[in-house]
Amino acid sequence: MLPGPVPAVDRLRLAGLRRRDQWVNLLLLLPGVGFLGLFLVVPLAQVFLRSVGLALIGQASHLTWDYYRQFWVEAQYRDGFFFSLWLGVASTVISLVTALMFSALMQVRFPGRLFVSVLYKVPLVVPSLVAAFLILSLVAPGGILARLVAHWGWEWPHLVYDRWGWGIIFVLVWHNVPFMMVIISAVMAGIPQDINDAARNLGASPWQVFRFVTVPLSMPGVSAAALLVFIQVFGAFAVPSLMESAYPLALPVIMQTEMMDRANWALASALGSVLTLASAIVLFAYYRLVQGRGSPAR
Amino acid sequence: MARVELRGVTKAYGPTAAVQDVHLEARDGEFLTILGPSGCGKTTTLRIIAGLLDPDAGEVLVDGQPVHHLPAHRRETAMVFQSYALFPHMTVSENVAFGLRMRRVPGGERKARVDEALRMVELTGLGDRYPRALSGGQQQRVAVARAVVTRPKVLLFDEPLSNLDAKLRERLRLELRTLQQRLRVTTIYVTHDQAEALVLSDRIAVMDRGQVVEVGIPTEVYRRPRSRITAEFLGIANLIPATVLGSRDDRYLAETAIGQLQVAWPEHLARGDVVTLSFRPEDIRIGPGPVNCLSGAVQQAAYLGSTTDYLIRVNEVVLRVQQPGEPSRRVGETVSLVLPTAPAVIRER
Repeated sequence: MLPGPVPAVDRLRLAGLRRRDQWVNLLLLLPGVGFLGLFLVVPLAQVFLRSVGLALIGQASHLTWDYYRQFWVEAQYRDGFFFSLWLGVASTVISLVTALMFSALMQVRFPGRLFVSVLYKVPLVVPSLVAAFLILSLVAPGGILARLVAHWGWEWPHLVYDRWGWGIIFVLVWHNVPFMMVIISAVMAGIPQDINDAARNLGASPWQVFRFVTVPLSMPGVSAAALLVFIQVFGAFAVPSLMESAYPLALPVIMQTEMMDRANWALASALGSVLTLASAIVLFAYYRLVQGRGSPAR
Repeated sequence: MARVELRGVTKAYGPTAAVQDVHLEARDGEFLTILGPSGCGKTTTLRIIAGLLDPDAGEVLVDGQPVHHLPAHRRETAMVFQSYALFPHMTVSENVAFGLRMRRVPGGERKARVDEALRMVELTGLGDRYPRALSGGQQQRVAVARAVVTRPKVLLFDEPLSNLDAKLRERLRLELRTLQQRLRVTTIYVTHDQAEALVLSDRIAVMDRGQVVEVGIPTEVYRRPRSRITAEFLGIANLIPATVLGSRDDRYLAETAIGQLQVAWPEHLARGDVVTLSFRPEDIRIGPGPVNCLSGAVQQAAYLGSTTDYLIRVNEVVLRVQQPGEPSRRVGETVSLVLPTAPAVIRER
């Protein structure tokens, strides 16, 4: 039998219940949405407003794009952006290649594997600044290695305070390889052994198995690790401020100078917005990449 | 085609021996099935042949040449895995072409061979799909195409049908047999399914606890098993311990828990020999007879469609008897049974 029409009284009662459910849903969402709003949306909005001359502290507010224009016109800021970009790309690529190789090796059983698996995670618990000091004492012009090779009359190459920031990259790689390895190793461990065995059985050498099977199947971990490291390095302040040359300076270091030394909050906010926008573009590209690969894999 | 030989192959995992002193031969173009229960070492044996595991001792020879020192990618074997192990990031065509790519087969020839292999397994037109868009049966066919396309000397199958439903399994086992006969490639097939072993094989090697206990053609290992393991694992068997009392004419007289039985056996048995008689349920007839006729009570009758499966108690022994058709005897009824005079005689106890 088909249900008959709902009486008017019941309709009102149902509408009341639906309204109550909506309020309950909103209340349940409040902690999460409230947290995101308070600690993410509000600060980001504030930074952007300041970058366009609004919501400034102790200054007259008026809408302007001058600070963005200044970023693009003045070489020190533009070079700072590209220097940060270089640090991000170089550190990510070098860390990724190293982490991929070591992660693949960690899938192989060998004596002392457990010890190595603990050892490679040590940099994870060492703060960046401490790592920078460690590397400085090792590779700086007056460092341990420089003094060691000086015994044979050799000159130690300029690895810190250099134009290309190799010392910075070295520290960031040292710090980020284990981080990447934790992610990539977990993904690699999830690849069924039969898949690797099938590739070997079909004539693939160990290198070919790595290239054609292991790496493509590890892409979800590889791309996630690369993204996280890039964004972290792109906005890195501590290590560049300690180890970079006089010029160019990384964009976060310039931001700090503008904000703390020159009280130029508006320009610092514009530089911060540029950094955030660039990271967002990379994040967007990552999701497009993952979506593109998502359908066939696994 | 190739001849594969295992000589004294042994493999242990820690203190547990997975394979112990295995001697086995697969002849040119033969379909050899390694049959045994889970954990008997059959997959380990197969993986040793493929080079995916190194034996602790012994030799693997292909056409008389030792290959156990060669890495897996240098051996001319192709394996179909239980899980199919298809590459999820590659299309069907790319999966099938993988072995050819690794062998640097030129593009044109590669495409032609992939198309031919897909046609052979009736998957033409599905080359652009990804494995996860295929059914279990189709994935299994891709795995077979991927293995045969490289034209290996030896094809290895590791329980490739075990993940499929019964109907599909039955159909694919016949297709596999046809394919193997067409290609005439030496094939070693691992399974725990006795029906698969009987249908597919030229010969069956029965393994138990890491050792090969018996090798023979399907009818031989089924009708005349040489060990209790074979008799029990390959089909259903009523195993009855017996003592040989003597011989009369061309038959032996044996004392058993269900009475004295006449046994015809081509090999010599001495008075006092202790043996096990193996009777297949379908060989026992319900009804009167002149020889080996016993009386028992029906304990259970299970209708299986084409046959009825009875449990009949004779003295303290429960015999399993299969008769064609629907149940004709009631539970509790006393019936006459005739046991065949030619059971398998197993000398081990």
